[in-house]
Amino acid sequence: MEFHPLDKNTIISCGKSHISFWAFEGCVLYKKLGIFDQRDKPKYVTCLAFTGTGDVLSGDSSGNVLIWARGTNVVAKVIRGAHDGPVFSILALKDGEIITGGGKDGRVLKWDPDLTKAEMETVVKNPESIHAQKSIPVLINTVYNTL
Amino acid sequence: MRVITEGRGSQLIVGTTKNCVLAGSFQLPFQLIVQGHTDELWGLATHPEQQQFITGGLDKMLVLWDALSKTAVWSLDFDVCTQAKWF
Repeated sequence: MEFHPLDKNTIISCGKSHISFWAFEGCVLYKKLGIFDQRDKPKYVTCLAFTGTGDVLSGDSSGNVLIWARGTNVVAKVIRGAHDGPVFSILALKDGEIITGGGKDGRVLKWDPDLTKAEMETVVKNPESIHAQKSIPVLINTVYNTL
Repeated sequence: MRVITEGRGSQLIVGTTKNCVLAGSFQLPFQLIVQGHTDELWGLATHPEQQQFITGGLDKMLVLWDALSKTAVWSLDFDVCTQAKWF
């Protein structure tokens, strides 16, 4: 869930197959569900971010990134297959560039502000073991009753 | 990878599903800042003389930590889950 950085009293939440745009008026919360194109409806909406112009970016489990025009609940643009596997994180930089991170492929992509093309790419791998410089004696007890 | 955030300058900080924190950028490769265990921790032993301790548990990882710099000195992939440790 995120508060809209520019529009007052606007909250955006996401989760299983949905994204909701909440308006807080008086003491009442009004909900507007985001409308997905049928083929773009994801299992999970995993992450949210905001562009400098107030558009909402969402990443989902299908690997797509969607741009929702500011103040609406309709998709303005779809980037299909931004990542193999789910998009786990979106980050909007101050200079307008967008960074997305994938869960399965471990790729980090940098997009231009219009999200037309990925300009740069880097891969994050899980680190391997750190090798010991010198050995030290240690006693270890395992779950199979061995020492 | 689970989350990305902005570091200093063009640096990016990445948190992974394996409880690691890495820092890097599009120019520099990602390097490990913090390595974590990914399952229950069952064993902990402190070194009798040095400022070090060893941890291990059900994630089959064995890690020797430096208590002063709070970093891993070495880590080892064990074939079985471990419980108790002694120096």
